[in-house]
Amino acid sequence: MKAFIRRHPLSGGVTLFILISLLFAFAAYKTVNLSYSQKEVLKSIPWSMEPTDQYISIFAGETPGQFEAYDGEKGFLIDATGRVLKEIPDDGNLGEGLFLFEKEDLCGVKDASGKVVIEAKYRSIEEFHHGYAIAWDGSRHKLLNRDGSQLLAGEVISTISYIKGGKYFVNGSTHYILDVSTGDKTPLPSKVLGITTDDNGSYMARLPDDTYCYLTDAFAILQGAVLYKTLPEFSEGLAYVERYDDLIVDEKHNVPLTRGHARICGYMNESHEIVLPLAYKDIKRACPFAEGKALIYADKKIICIDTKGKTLFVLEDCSNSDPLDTRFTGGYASLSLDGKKEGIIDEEGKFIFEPIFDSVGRINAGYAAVRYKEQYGIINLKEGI
Amino acid sequence: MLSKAISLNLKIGKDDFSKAIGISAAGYALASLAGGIPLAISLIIVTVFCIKGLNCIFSTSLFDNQGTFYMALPLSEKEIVLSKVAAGSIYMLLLDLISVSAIFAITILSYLIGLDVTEILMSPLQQYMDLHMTAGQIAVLMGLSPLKMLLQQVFFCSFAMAALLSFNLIKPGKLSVVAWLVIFGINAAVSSGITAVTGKLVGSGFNIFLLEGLTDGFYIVVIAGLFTYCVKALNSKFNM
Repeated sequence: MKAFIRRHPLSGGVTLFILISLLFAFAAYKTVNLSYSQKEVLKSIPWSMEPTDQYISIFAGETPGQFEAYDGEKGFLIDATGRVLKEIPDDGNLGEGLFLFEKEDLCGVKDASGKVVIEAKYRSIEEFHHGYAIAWDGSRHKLLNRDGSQLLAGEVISTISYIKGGKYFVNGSTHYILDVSTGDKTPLPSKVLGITTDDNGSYMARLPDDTYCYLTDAFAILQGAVLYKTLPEFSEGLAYVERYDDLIVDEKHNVPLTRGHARICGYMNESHEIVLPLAYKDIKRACPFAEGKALIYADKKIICIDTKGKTLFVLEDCSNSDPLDTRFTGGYASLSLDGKKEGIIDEEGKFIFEPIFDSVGRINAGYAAVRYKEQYGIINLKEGI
Repeated sequence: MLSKAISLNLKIGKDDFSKAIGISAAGYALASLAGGIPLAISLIIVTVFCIKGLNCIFSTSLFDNQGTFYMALPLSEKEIVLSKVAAGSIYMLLLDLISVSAIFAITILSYLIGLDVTEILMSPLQQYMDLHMTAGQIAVLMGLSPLKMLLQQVFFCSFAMAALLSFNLIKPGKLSVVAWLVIFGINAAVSSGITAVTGKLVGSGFNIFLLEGLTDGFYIVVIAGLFTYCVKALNSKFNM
């Protein structure tokens, strides 16, 4: 019999057929088991709103316990149980009592009574600040007054951005700061490519080679100003920075290249002193402090430190190469170890919800909106403990 | 002797079916890169080669140089029908398995680039999971699915041979495209009809294992009937 099976020309085909059948069965068994176990996990989650495909996005609102949900056409303010509180009007609010309207793919501005104050002839119009708004007509930027008249009408503006306090960064034939309240123009050093502010409102200049430095309130570069590789984001008086202490912006504003120079990484205080230096080799992200703790993605780990720099816990085996900002809210933080699935940890670094979600939104009053397989739901974290 | 006859018929269809298998594999490979249009085009070409290959298998060695029925092999009519239907079914099953392998390959590729594999594998299993079947039960059904594919292909080949014999459309070097398209159409209607009826019955509470068994039984009975018809048809042609 064995000899017959060995010699039969179709025995190979039959064997292959049986092997394929077994492979089918095995693949089906494994997939179904995995799916069922995921369903069990989902069942055990204390949903305040069950996952639904009714909305294409849900994220935490400004008010505690409220969320903004969008169904693709309209936005709704909902509570943590999913109850719709009100529809969020899409009125194109541009601030200062003015509203955007569209006509034949072009934008214009109306006032609160519906009266057209600026005809629809722009591709885009940004928010009004101090009576002015930046508009784009498809080829040039304009600075529009509330009545549609142009400030700097005679200038060719390549870029313009609002900074704060009625001040605009204008880049045309020269670049300068325009104060729309007084009409003053403050010239800027030639190397300055843009102006922004840190979280404390201090002016920072964007310089070549993707670097930044602090400016005085008069928009001058301080003598001996150091170069930063990152924009400081202050939280609880500390901001993570990467900077080049061996490079300074010289008085002629010739910014040296940063390649080959050593970066110093750590959290700095509001006096711009690095008080918590970080000695990790490969820092992917150091998140802002919140509730006295910060999470640092470095050296294939997630390290949680307090404001004294003491390590509170370490999560190993982190392969997340592009982590998002993660911070503690109400004792919880969402994070992803692999960059694909997110879970929620407590203050001791224990997962109270395993990383099975496609995304976890900002935690709001003990609730978190999560996305799981194209559906959104809201979890009551307090019941998860 | 039967296995030798099957091997011989496999050789007869080798040229056309190797092209069909190659184009099918290429179609699925292109589909993963460029979407459904290359796959649709490749499936049309594959169907053409399938028709040519099956026609060649069904007609070869049944006629002499003058085109009259002549048994070139020392086989009975039953063995002739069995060997030709078996060879055609093996090739058609191979094409089926290529499409399944393509799904497996795309799944593995998706896993490597970070997609959720479970989601892709789930679609053929979803209907069973909706019935709250256990993983073991679903594994048994999926393990038996290649056997069902084989039954469907044997049904298709025996039906095609019976239809062509009954209308005297099996002739050396002649290809009745219209007849073949009608055969393909009827086969598609039967298999999708059975799937639809089974789905409805399962939805209204019928035991799925019983239904699967019944449909397999139905196929076996129909296949047996078609075999008998083909053997009789061949017999009558030789005795003309």
